[in-house]
Parts: sequence; structure tokens; C-alpha cells
Amino acid sequence: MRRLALVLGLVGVGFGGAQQLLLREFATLLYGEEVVLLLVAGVALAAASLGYRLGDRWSARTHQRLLALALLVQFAWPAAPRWSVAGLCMLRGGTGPELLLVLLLFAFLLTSPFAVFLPALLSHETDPSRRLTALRWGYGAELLGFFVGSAAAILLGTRPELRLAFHFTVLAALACLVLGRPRGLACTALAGLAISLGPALAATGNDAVYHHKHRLPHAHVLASLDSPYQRIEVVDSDRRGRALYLDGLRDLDSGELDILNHYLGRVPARLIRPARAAVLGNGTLSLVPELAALSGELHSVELDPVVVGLGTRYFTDPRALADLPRWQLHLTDGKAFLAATDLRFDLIVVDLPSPLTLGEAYLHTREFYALCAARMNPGGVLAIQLSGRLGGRRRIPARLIAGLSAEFADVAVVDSELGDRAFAFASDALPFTPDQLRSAAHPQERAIDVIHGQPLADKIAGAAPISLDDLDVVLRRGSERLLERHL
Amino acid sequence: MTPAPPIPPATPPRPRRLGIHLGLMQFGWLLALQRGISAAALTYALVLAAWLLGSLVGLWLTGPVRRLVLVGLAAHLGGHAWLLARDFAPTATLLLLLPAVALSALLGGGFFARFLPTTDRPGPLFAAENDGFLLGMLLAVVGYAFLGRWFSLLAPLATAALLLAPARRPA
Repeated sequence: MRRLALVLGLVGVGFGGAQQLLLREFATLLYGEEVVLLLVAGVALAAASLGYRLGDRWSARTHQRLLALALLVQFAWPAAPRWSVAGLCMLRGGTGPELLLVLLLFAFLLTSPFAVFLPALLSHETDPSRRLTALRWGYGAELLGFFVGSAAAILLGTRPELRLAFHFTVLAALACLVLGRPRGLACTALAGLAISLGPALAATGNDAVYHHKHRLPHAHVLASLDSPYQRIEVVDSDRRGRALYLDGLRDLDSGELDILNHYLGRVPARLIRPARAAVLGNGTLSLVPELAALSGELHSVELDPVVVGLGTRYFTDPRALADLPRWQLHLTDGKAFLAATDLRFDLIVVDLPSPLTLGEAYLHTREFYALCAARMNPGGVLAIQLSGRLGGRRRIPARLIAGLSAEFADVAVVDSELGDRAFAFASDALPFTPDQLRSAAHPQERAIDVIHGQPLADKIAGAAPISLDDLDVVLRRGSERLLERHL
Repeated sequence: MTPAPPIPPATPPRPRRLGIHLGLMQFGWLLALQRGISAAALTYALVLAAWLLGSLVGLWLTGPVRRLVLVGLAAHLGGHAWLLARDFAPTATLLLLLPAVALSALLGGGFFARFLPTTDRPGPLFAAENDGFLLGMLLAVVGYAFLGRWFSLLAPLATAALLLAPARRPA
């Protein structure tokens, strides 16, 4: 029974680690909208089902061969999926459905051989009492191992080489236990080789993905780290300059950062000079130095510490943040911060990506805007970016404005050609006029449109606010994008 | 210590229905707590740890599966109804809801402890439960996105009813 628990415990650790590696890698390669996260998780579960089904049909020899193959593929991780995807994109000159087949293949190779163990080992026990005991100890060990493997893969995301070293060591130990001495030793040697060569291979694979999949010739990935939430990558390229990618989706680049910060933070802060302001998101902290100078007190709220770490390394000079006594950084969820705080603000800036995952979408709902309104002083302003130009009533910008209009009496929209997106300001009574907004345009602005009052109401007529009970836009938009890219 | 031989259960196992029920509840909890309390990684880790603990404890329980279904359902309904009454709740309330998450998961372990020892082939039982879990996960996310919090609250009621429905008598 001890050996059974040990084997299934190691299987669980390997299974949990492999599933996390698969999820993060393919969420990034296929771009991490909620739909993609669901797709990758679903494919991994389906591959596990296949393993369960085949577990007591395969001979021990077939299982050993497939396990050895699965270990070989994992020792080539993450270079193998990156080179596969980059190579296919290079051959096609773009993305296509074959990338989804690559996901299926890797999911099967990584997950199925682990799932084979539990039913196969339990089948050996034919006496019901002994099988129950085996289930309790064996399945219990596998569940615990799965938790440990997943947790280790998540916690070591900022140390990719340590994460792989841990995972490969577990796989080598499993190989020694179940594949016999010669194969076990071979796997141990391969694991050692992978630990020494893996990071270099993975780094070159990263660049290849940006060259061929993102179509950025000469792109170079300066940093690629996994937080518990997403993969954060900083990429230099001729076309975009320095850019920040979250799960493969471009969040911002150095060219647009100043424009974004101008309309989102600089303009309202200059116009109202807030006694107390809060910035939710803005993980690069690029708004902080200027906003701190324009505000009596500033609170930054960001969920992901890894974005902050890379932001202050590659986008914001840490010296500019060093001497800001009236600035506080809170590493927490924006809605949890606002729900818990007794503070009241004159300006709340929400700097978040488009609502392409549910986690992001919660902060674009009318209920969240109501929470912001409850934490503002009279005449306080909420500033958000709309992730695009104001378009049709079913599009995200119109739905965001509908949400703001449902909770605030006074809403104005600045539609910037330079920024290629619109920004919204909402209040119980906006303390500035459309003319003041127009005259505060970015110095390089080409054409700016300020929409306010009835013309704005006409533009969004029929648009439904995004709400906690109506988040279909996340899946609809994600599906559209996934289909556009791959089918 | 070798446990007493398990008595073959009177009801059919219905692993696929069980998987859908568990998938709906686990993802229902994750969505509800990340939405209503905090999307921090700690929430995710605590929910999964509570779920795991519930499943492990369930492996050692000997009562009828019906009881575990009802206990888990009551915990789910209580927790979700409480969350439904407020859009955003303080972070500390997460700790109060974790026991309800664990109670919802008892059925996962309890089911296998009840049915697996007397089944001919364990593989298809695990596979069917896992297929159901995948479907439950998809239903939980799609249902919540399109139909909102009421879906997360009520959908496990329907799957629990399917799980507990009397078996058809052979003709």
C-alpha cells in the first residue's frame, strides 16, 4: 500500500505540474481570453478521460512506452510547443486551425499517461475491501500530489528554471519507480540535461513565437515570467518599440503609453487637482509619478505583483517612485480594496485591459461602477479607458458607457484618433466642461471628439450595460477573436 | 486496517451526472468567490484546498451517497444565496464560506468510496465522472456568463435531482 501511495503521489505531482505547464503555455500561445482558458482546460480534462478509459485496456508495456514518450516531451518543455507553434506559423505565414491540433497533441501526450495509473493500479485489487483501502490511500495520495504539483508550478512561475527543475526531478523519480532501472537512469540523465539546457532553448523559442506568430521581425523577449494570474512578457521590436504582453495579448507599448496616461490620468488630475486619488490597475506604475505630483494623496491598487516588478524594471524608472511619501501601493484586487476601504476619493482612475476574461470583466460592470461611486466625494470623477473607439451599441465601448450612465448622472467621452480609443469620465456632476477637455488634448493629437449629454445618449441608445449577471460579452468577443485567428 | 467489505449500493452510480454536478459546484464556487470577494490567487488556492479536503474526507465516509448529495447541495445553496444578496463582500467572509466549499466536495470522495470497490472496471467510472466534470465546468462558466448568478445558484439543484432520481425498473 505504501508503494501504491508513493507512486500515485508522484503521479499526482507530475499530473498537476504538467497540467499547469500546459495551461500557461497554450493560454499564451493561443492568447489568453476566457474562451482560450476554457478550451485549454477542457482539452486537458478530455485527455485525462482518455487516459482513464485506456488505463485498464493498455498492457503494462504499452503504458510504459507511452509514459516514456510523455516524459521525453516534457523534458523538451517549453521549447517543444513554442518551436512547434512558431514553425507552423512560419510555414503558413500566419495562424490557422493546425495550432489547435498542436494543443490536442500536447494535451494528450502530457496528461493521458498520468491518468492511466489510478484505474490500472486499482484494477489489480479484485477484493472489494482491499480495493477500498487502495482507493483511500492511493487516490488520496494522488489528489494531494496534484495539489502540490499545481501549487509548485504556480508558486515557482517567476523562477522558470526552478519550476522545471522541480517538475523534472519528480518525473525522473517516477520513472525510476515504474520504468525499471535502465529507463529510470536514462530519464534521470535526460532530466539533468533538460535542466541545464532548457532555459536557453525556451528563451530562443520565445523569440521565435514573436517573430512568426505575432509577426514582429527581430523581436526580442526581454522577460517572460508567470504570475499566478497570467504570463507577463516584455518584448522589444522594431515595429512596436517596447511592449507588455499579458498571456500573449498586447497590453500596451511604449508608443501609446504616454497617450493612454495622458487622457486617463493627466487630464482629469490637472483639471480637478484631487486631494485624494486612486489608480486601479496600471501595473507598470507609469502614471504614478505624475499623478502623485498632482494629487494630495495617491493610492495604487494592482493585483499582480509580477506586473509591478516588470513594470518598474522596463517601463517606469524606479527612481521616480523612490521619494513619494503620499503614495501607497496596495497589492490586492481593486474591488476588494474599494469594498473594504473607508477612504473617499476625488478621482478614481481605472486602467484595465478589455473585458476578455471574467476576472477583468467584473471591474467593467455597472455594479463595480456603483461601488466606485459610493467611494467618491461629491463632484469626484471616475476615469476609464474604453478599449476602442465608440462604435455600435453591441460593442464593448458602448456597453461600458451604458454602465457608467446607469450609475452616474454626468458622463463625457473623449474619442482620440491619436490613441485609437475613447476614454470616459463620469461623476454626479463633472467639475469640468467639454471645452476644457478639448483644450487639454495631447500635444500630438490629430483629431479629438468630446461627446456629452444628449449626443452621447443617442450614440449608446439600446446598449446594455455589462453587469455581474450579464457577462456574455466576455465569451462572445473571445469566441469571435478565437475563430478569426484560427478558423 | 482492512475495512469491512462495502455493501453494494442500491442506486446506480451515474458517474456522468455526478461529474456534471461536481463541475457545476466547484466552478460555481470559484466564480462566485472570485467575483464577490476577491480574484486574488489566494482565493483560488483556498477554494481548491477546501475542495480537496472535502474530497479526501469523503473517501473515508461510509454513509449513503444520497446524504452527501443533500449536505453538499445545502452548503452550496446557503453560500450562494448569501453571496447573491450582496455584489461585493469583505475578504474576511471567504473564511466563513470555505467550510461550505468543503461540504460540497464530500460527495466526490464519497461516491468513489461507495461505488468503486464493487465495479468491474474502474477506468470507465473515472472517465465518465471526468467527462461529466468537463461538461459541468463548461456549463458553469457559460451559464453564469449568459444567465448570471441565479444560474450558479440553481443549476446544481437540477443536477442533484438527476442524481437522486429513482432508477427505472427493468421491463
